[in-house]
Amino acid sequence: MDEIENLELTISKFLRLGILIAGFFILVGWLMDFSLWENPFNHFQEYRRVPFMDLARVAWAQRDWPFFLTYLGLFILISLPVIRVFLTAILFVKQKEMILATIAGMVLFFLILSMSLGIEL
Amino acid sequence: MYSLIMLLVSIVAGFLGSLLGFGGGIIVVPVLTLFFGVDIRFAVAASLISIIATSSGAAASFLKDHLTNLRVAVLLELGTVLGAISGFLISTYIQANWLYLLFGFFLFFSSIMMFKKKKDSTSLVNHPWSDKLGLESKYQDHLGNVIHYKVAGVPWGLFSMYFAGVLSALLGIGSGIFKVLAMDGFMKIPVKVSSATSNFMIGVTASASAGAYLMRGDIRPEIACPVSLGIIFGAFMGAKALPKMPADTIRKFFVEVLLIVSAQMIYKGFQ
Repeated sequence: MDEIENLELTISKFLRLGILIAGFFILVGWLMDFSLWENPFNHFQEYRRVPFMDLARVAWAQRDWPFFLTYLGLFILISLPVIRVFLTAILFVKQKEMILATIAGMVLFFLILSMSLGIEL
Repeated sequence: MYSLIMLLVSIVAGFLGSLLGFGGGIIVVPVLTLFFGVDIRFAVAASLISIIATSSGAAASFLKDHLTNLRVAVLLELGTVLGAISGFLISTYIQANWLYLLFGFFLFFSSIMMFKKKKDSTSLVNHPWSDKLGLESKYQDHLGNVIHYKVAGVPWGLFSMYFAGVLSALLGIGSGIFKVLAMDGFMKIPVKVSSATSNFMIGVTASASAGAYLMRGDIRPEIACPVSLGIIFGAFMGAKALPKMPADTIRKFFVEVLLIVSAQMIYKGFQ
């Protein structure tokens, strides 16, 4: 295993910790808002698009803490692969593998771009 | 109660996924849509979250087995991420019944592929890009022999990854089957290496569209929470149970279930 793979292994173990942290926030948020008898899926039988920023505004007005805890967990979870790509790009730079570092940088750029697409649409 | 049922289904999905080598999406999306009546676009978005969880959690073990080709993974991620962005944009305009049809055909294809024996195809020469990026590598087989392999057809592999990314974003799946097919067929990478490299990549692919779906408001905690928690837990149990379970017997039973579900999804698409 080359040095890059060794360092990637360390990053991957770190990301496993990230999963546990994200899972913790999701679990706590979910349990705080949990209702045994309600069917939450009834609200999602028809597709109505409500942007995250609008949901967050309403949740903030109602001081809906479970909402923020759950989304914090979800944001952490989605960010984990992005962080991995960022660290991989740095590793390639350290190894002077500039073409691969540029490719990893491009992947990172497109990952960040994709989030902004969700905001605009 | 309904959330708890979904949590249990997701645990089973994570467990079977870990055992049979697929993402939980092919179980979670049909259950959410056919059983709970959730619109397929919300189900797809929730499924992507669970794919990130399983892929990121397993990345360390994929690397530890020395099979993952990191250089190939980074290069191909460029194709899958661009495909995932396109898939997200297409999802804005595509009608739900088309997604049901696409998902149904994908399930049918997946079940056929589960029956097929995977054979290695090799190349004697590297593609010029492979030489430039140092993509050729080696791994150890189960007998301890060191197998060297070259990497061919890099542009075709990259091009195929784009379509794997589109499908991942549209259907909430890891697209592992297509990634392995492309790496094996075009790039002539040994199946063991392509499977490990594909598993390593699916989290990044899913993340590209999941971020956009979340900002658009399609990832809703009411669905994503039981699904992601269940899949994380189920995948962990599946990895532990892997050596003791009769994976081939379970696979045969599961393929029959998949064929029935694929027919139901296609039927719903035509309704």
